[in-house]
Formats: sequence, C-alpha cells, structure tokens
Amino acid sequence: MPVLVDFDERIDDESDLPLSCSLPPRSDTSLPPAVDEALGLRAAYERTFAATRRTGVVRLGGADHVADLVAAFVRIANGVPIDDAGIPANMIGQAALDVRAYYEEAALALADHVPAARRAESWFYRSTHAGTALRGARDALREADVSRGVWFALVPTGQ
Amino acid sequence: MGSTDDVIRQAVNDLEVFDFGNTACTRAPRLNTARVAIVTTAGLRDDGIGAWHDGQGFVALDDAARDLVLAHVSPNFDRAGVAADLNVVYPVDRLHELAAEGVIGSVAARHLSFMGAQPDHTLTTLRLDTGPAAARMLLDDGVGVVLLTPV
Repeated sequence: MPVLVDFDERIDDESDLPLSCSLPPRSDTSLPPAVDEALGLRAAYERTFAATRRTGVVRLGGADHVADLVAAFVRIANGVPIDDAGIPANMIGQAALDVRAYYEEAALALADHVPAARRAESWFYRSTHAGTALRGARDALREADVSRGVWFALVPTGQ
Repeated sequence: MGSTDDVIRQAVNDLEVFDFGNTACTRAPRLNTARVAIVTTAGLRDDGIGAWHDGQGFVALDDAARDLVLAHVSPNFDRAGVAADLNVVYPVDRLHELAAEGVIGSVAARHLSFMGAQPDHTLTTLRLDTGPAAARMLLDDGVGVVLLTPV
C-alpha cells in the first residue's frame, strides 16, 4: 500500500525560493559575520514578536542568547570539537531550531507579505551567514562521525 | 533537486507503515449541532517548553490559549507559516468563526496536541493507551467531531 497518493491538482507557487530580505550592514567587525548578523536582526525579530505576541525562540534562553548560539555553531563549523563549542551535544538540535526560528520570525518583519512555504527557511539557509554556519556545523559533525541524532535537526531536508 | 516536497516525498514513499486492519467507521453527527475539537500533531504546548517530552502522549490545550509553543522535533516542515499565524496548524480562530456562523454547533473547551515525528512506527502506545485516553477525554467534553491537522 503506498504511503502517499498523487492527485491531479497541483499548486504552483514560489515555494522553496529564498525570500529577498535585506540583511543588516556589518556593525561590529570584531565579531564573526554570522554573530554580527544575528544581532543586527534583533529589531526585525522584535517587530514580529510585537505583532504576534508569540515566538518559537523558546528552547535555550530566548532571543537574548541567539547570538551566543550562532557563535557556537560558527565554532563547530570551524572544527572546534562539540564538547568545546559551548552547546551541550544533546541540545544542538534545540539550539538550531531556536536560531532558525529567530531568523524566520525576523524575515516575516522584513518581507512585506507572508511568504510561501519554505521561502523564509530557504532565505535563512542559503542567504545568511548563520544559515551557512548551521550547514557547516552539520557537515563538520557528520564528518566527525557524531551520531545523526545530534545533528539531524540542524538543516532540514531539501536545503 | 526538485522541490522540498518532492524530495521528502521520495524519501518516505516506500516507508513501511503499520497496518491497522479494519478501519472503524461511524456516522458523524450533524455538523451544525456538533461540538468540534482540534486534534493536531504539531507538538503544541501551552507551558512555554520548546521540547516534546511526551513521546506518543498528548497535551490538552485550553480553547482560550493562544500563547502556544511549537515543540515538534522535526526540522522538515515550514515553520515560518506557524510563526505568522497559529491557525496554520491549529485553526482555533477559524472554528470559532464557524461556530458564530452556525456552520458548526460549538467549539470544544479543550483541544489536543500530539507530536507527529514518532520513531516507533507501530505507534503501540498511541493505539493502546494514549489514543483511547484522548478519545475518552474528548467524549467526556461532549465532542462529536474532531478536526485533525497532521504535521
């Protein structure tokens, strides 16, 4: 029995195409670009929070800690062992979901419309320094033979 | 690479699924007199905890609650839509509109959230324990129809 069944109807939209969201200019060049970028998006994130009164950045200390999480992913992507990177191994996935939620909620404020499915996700992973850091961290952990359960939540299928 | 939906479809198309055998079928009440509850697998929580620690269990959500957290473990679905509007996975406001219009009889006092990414594909605990418990809770609340939002 098939798990999925195909129907003739098809909705063609801009799903998966990255949003065109302006990223903040560099502010503090002493910081890694990804960390500086995350800090620069705080205002956009707060605008979405003010409008919705909800946030998905709830797992590891809230929006105040996102820059620290991004810094840890930058370290992992650069080859720092997971035990020295600043996030417990069993919280790596949760940290990634917090960072992604922060960026996607910021994207909602930067875009002038609610984006089609996965456009904010694609913007995050393909157009931002933090998304690049998560990709790099995933690759580094995989190459280090770290258990898949640790890194599978860093980058969704399709990205 | 095709769309993300195409990629995921290819990845799961041949997954072995549990055979539930005969499917129970019952006649639904008239919708305009029915009390309707949402049963979602979005992994929603009302306690602010962003992690799902309930396995194949469920969380009961007060109908009035809107400050809900998405604790689903999978990264493989669009989360921005939920951030923009909770009704994308939990159409509680839409239910109230339908009730006001007389399309449905009433909205349940509680709704239920399970979490959809379950590693045990036999869903034994859900079939034998938490599922019946959830149904009992809804029946005790006078619910006659559920709106399932699979995530």
